[in-house]
Amino acid sequence: MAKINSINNKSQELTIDPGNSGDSFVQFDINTTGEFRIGVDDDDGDAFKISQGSALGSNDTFVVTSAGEITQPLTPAFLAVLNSDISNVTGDGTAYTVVWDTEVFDQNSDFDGTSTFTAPVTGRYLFSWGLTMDALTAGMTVMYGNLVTSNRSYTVFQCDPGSFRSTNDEVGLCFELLCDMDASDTASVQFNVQNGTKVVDLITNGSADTYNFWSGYLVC
Amino acid sequence: MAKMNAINNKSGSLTLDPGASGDSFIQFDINTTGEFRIGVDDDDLDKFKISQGSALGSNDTMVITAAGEITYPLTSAFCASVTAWGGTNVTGDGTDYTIAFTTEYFDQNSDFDGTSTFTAPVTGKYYITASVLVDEVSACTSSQFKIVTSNRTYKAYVLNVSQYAHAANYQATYSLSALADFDASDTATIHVDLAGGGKVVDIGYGGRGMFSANLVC
Repeated sequence: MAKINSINNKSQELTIDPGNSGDSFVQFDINTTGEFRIGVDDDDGDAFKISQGSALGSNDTFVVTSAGEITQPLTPAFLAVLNSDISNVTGDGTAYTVVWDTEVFDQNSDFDGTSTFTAPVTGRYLFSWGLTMDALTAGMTVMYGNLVTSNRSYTVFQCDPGSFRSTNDEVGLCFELLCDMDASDTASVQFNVQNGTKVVDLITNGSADTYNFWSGYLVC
Repeated sequence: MAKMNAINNKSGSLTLDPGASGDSFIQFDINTTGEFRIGVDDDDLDKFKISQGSALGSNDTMVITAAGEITYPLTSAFCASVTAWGGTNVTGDGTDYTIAFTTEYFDQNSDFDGTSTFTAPVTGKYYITASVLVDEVSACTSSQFKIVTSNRTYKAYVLNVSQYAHAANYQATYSLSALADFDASDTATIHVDLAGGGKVVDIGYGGRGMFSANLVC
């Protein structure tokens, strides 16, 4: 028979036990509306969960497995990549904002599918990105890479791609940054190659490997 | 009137409901001292919170919005940048220079000292990112960029740095990231060491250099 142990005034314990089967939980309501439920999901490997509404197993926001792994299935996290080349975007000083053609995942739907991530809540967000450029020439002696956010624009790399380009006239760069964002602030990836003509491409090399990517997630 | 529904023996559950208004919560005390409170904050869009003390809405340590976003407003996280021309003639001759990041963008939990050192408040795994722009590297033939922690040093080597650099003014950017293990009170600093020339290398052009860390787990 399902049971919940009574509050133990001596040890200040509260034990909830449904018996042979069923969830063990505490329900937080306001005026009979189910707001959040916390407890152990008997139907999901006895994982501990914090879930929206009035059920464990739907709209889970925080999950602890019986092995201790923690996931946050609804918090913002996205990954976008390029699966096709983008040609002639800079080289002449144009500041190009990368337009990503493929969204690998977008947990919480905060990425617009092309260029812009919008913070749903105020917090600290970690962004990572990598770019592979082609058609660089010796005369292209200046390159800037920027993460453009509402609070500030970070110039995160500056170099001479004309000097250290590969024999195929390619350069690859990557970067990571922890940023403060207010709710509704935006972020995008931009780069700018100077002192040449507008012939610089972002390339995929026709490969299944990912040469250009951008990801971000809410840290805290 | 606030109420607590009776224990439901049938479903093995406990339902808390204050009625038309008020928080729905459980309070954890020790010897009458409020330690933690968990529950739904009626004054803040019905967010679920774990809060220190005896109130939801102050000293919130974990917040879940109605859309499922989770923030940890008190956990360790900071980001700082170098001040414009924050260091002149600091390396180039093999000097190991500890970079000062004196423009603090944020320092949640106050674990960065405002200049160069992050100190871990608790044992855990921390994600560290660092970058810096160096200037006047035309004579340098080798370089190292380092995250120096109490447990170990993480290094990135760049050879022929003068070729990597911006040709007109010999500027170059380094970046490095690591998921690092820290014990409580361990520290992290960021170092740059260029060699092969004179001690003429500057850092901080345009305030370009970042240092950030956050507690991951």
